[in-house]
Amino acid sequence: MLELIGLNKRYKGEAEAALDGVHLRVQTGEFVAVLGRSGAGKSTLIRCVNRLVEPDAGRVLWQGRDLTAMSAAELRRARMRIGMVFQHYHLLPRLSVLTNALAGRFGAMPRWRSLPGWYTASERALAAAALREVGLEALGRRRVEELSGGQKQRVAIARVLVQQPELLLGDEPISSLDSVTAARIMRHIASLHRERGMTVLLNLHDVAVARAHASRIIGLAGGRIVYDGSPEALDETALARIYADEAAPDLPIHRRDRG
Amino acid sequence: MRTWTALGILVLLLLWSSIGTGLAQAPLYDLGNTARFIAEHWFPPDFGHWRIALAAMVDTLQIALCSTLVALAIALPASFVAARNTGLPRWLYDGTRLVFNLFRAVPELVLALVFIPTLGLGPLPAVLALIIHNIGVFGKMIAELIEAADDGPQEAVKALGGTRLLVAAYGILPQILPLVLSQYFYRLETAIRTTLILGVVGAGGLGQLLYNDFKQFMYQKVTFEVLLIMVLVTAVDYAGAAVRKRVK
Ligand SMILES: Nc1ncnc2c1ncn2[C@@H]1O[C@H](COP(=O)(O)OP(=O)(O)OP(=O)(O)O)[C@@H](O)[C@H]1O
Ligand SMILES: [Mg+2]
Repeated sequence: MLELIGLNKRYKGEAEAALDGVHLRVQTGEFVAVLGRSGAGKSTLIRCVNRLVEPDAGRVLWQGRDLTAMSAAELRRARMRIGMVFQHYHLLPRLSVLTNALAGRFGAMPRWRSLPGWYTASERALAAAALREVGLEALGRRRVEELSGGQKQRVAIARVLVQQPELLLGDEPISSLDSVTAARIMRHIASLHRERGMTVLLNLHDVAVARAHASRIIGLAGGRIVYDGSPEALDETALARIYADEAAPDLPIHRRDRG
Repeated sequence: MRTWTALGILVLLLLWSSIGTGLAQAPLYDLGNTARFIAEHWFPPDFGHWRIALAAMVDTLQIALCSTLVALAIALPASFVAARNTGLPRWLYDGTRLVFNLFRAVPELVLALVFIPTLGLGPLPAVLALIIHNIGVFGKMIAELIEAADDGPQEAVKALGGTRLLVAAYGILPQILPLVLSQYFYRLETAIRTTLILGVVGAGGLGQLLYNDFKQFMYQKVTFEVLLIMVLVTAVDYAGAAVRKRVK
């Protein structure tokens, strides 16, 4: 189980809080989509979970342990069990597709093997199977720079398959892709959820995609949760609360458009 | 109007400095005489001592190569400490930056003079001087590349539970490698020229040979040695271009 308790975050030099007292409890096995307009705090929320962004206040409990109180070494061990996919893929540059998939083992390997990149036969087999699953087995030796956006995101999915985390975070993983490619990536993520039993917490900007895949939807506006419920219950009024300012004049309006 | 003022100031500065250095009076010298002197005394080049000259050229290359490689090997890890985004303590960052700046501030010639009284003549003072200066140059340059590196891959390695060392090795290093290489070759070329100058203070190599021949008025030998310098620098330039083409 993942529990966010009273998360606050205000970036240095910013007038308004990116997260303003966020409480959220995600049960193991849920598929949660986070919706919200640009600047609502979606990325900040996702990144606070694995502490890529350090919250100013509040706690992140995961499997009964407080991630925010962990030492660097403990945090690394916890991150090993939390996967993440990004909008801009964040693959390791100038390295091959296979090496990128193998990087999924980084957290689990002893240091003397991870640094020089010495992988065992079973790790290699795992990476090969992951590449097969995302349909990239023929491109294992190709440099990641030479791939299309959709192929890059499939490498990132393969990395998650190799990592085998219990929780998968996603910061708009399909926002840079065309709709057909996006659908393919969403199918992969759905299968990580269904077949691998990963709990999923994703930012999405497409309401229809969120409805189609998520078992629960969180609406974020001005750093606060303004909707929390099933996809079925996400009606016009709820959408207006998430996206339109007229319906909620007391919410701060964000002008800046950040990636 | 502003443009004309700026241009006027520029012309004044040029006049002032060229009178000060004597360039303005140069037409008064007999430049034709200089041309005649060069034609008569420096040509044709004297290839007679080619074995010695080639050996000296190799010495020069070895001094430059060894010192820049050692400097790079030291500066590369150190520059991660001197980059703000690697998350190490502030005092370490400040301290490393300061050392880089101090190393860079002192010219190689001065450093070599410092070492000569205790280490004597020969390549060693030159090598040490070049190492120290180039640690400063590489360190600052690489630290800036690290700070400008794309966050994405670094975040990915962190999110996977990777250590700081892994973040550096897989999140940062591959990005900056091509730029580091091209800077390396640029510095190697510079180090070759510096080594030639350090030959004047006894570092050996082609520079010292050239200076000795010059002092003995053996200008035709000097001509051959200048040709060798051109060959060496051009060869390094080509080698650099070839390596850069492969590492993209
Ligand atoms: N690194 C940063 N430094 C300063 N301010 C930031 C930073 N990252 C985000 N912010 C600010 O925090 C607020 C929330 O940003 P966040 O990136 O979480 O929004 P988002 O919902 O993910 O938006 P988008 O849909 O555009 O990705 C915004 O006002 C943004 O300007
Ligand atoms: Mg975002």
